[in-house]
Amino acid sequence: MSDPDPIKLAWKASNIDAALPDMEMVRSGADKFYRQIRRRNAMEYIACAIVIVWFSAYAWLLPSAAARAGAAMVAVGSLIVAWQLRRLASAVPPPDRAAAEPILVHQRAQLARQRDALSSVFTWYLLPLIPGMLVMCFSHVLDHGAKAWLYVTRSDFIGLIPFVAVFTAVWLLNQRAARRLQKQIDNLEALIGRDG
Amino acid sequence: MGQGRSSQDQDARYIAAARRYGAAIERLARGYEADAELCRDLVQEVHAALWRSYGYFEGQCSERSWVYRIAHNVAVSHLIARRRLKRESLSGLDEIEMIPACDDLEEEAGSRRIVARLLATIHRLTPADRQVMLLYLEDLSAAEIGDVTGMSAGAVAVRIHRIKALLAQPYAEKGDLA
Repeated sequence: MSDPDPIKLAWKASNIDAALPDMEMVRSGADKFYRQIRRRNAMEYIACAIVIVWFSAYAWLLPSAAARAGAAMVAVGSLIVAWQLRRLASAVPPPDRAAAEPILVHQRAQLARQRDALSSVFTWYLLPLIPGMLVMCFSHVLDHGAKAWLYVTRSDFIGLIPFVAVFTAVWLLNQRAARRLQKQIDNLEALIGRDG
Repeated sequence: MGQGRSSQDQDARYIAAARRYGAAIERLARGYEADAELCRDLVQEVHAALWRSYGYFEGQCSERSWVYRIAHNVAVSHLIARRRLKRESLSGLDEIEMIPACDDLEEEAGSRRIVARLLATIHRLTPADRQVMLLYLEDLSAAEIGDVTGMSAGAVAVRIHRIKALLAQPYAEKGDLA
């Protein structure tokens, strides 16, 4: 006996009746989804506001004109990062919105969006912060105006090492994560249409 | 007024689908979540997503495909959110071990034990193979499985062949013993 139908029958017979969920519960479940979205957005706004207030205070209080300009640039850079985060997050449709597409096509699109975000992390996450950080690091030099380059010392560059190390580590970790996602995308692409 | 009618229509379409596919949604949820309490949460998540989806379902595909796509999408998102996608703990259909042979098929047929064995196997499958297995058990045709998952006809055919072989193993062994 090799017909697997008895197993199918057993599977389907394991749960024939399902109680219809209470409509209020269903609606509150849908509300919960939107509440989670709103809470996530609110947290992003709060984090962004804290950074902006912090560096705006620097831009106001620091004695050096160049340092104030650098702090203002970091605040603007943080705004750009927050906007990009929001743009990338909103590009992912919720599961119900994605039902117009087959499951694996939707999953592939989600993974591809994550991969693109990770592989381009330098341009949307790191680059907006770099000008402000550099201006703040070299503010004591820039305050000398046109002859600023004469006041650059080796210690100024040594002071940059922690920032370079952190930014490089962030970039490398994201590139590694993007490569892992690419392997999953390759597997899904093979399932969607290239082989069996 | 129009909004009210629209909302009532959404409720009515959702209720009809929930009546038709409610049992299948619960079976699918069990295939993704072994923990009973989390499984109930997952079923609720699927129903909430299904209700939302009827705000804009206009026959983009068959209703059956629509419901299964939503259910699987929610379930996969649930898996990812619960960090259960540990690569080392999941296997493909080509490498998974057989379902243990049954001592007494007649006695076991229709019992909970066979379903428990099925679930134990399903819970070890990778998401893509799990989707095919669950849809196959729900009696979808290969073409419908391709429509729901987006998997190529060849990929579906290979997986169904493997599933049939996997499901037939206990019976084959019983025959061997006889």
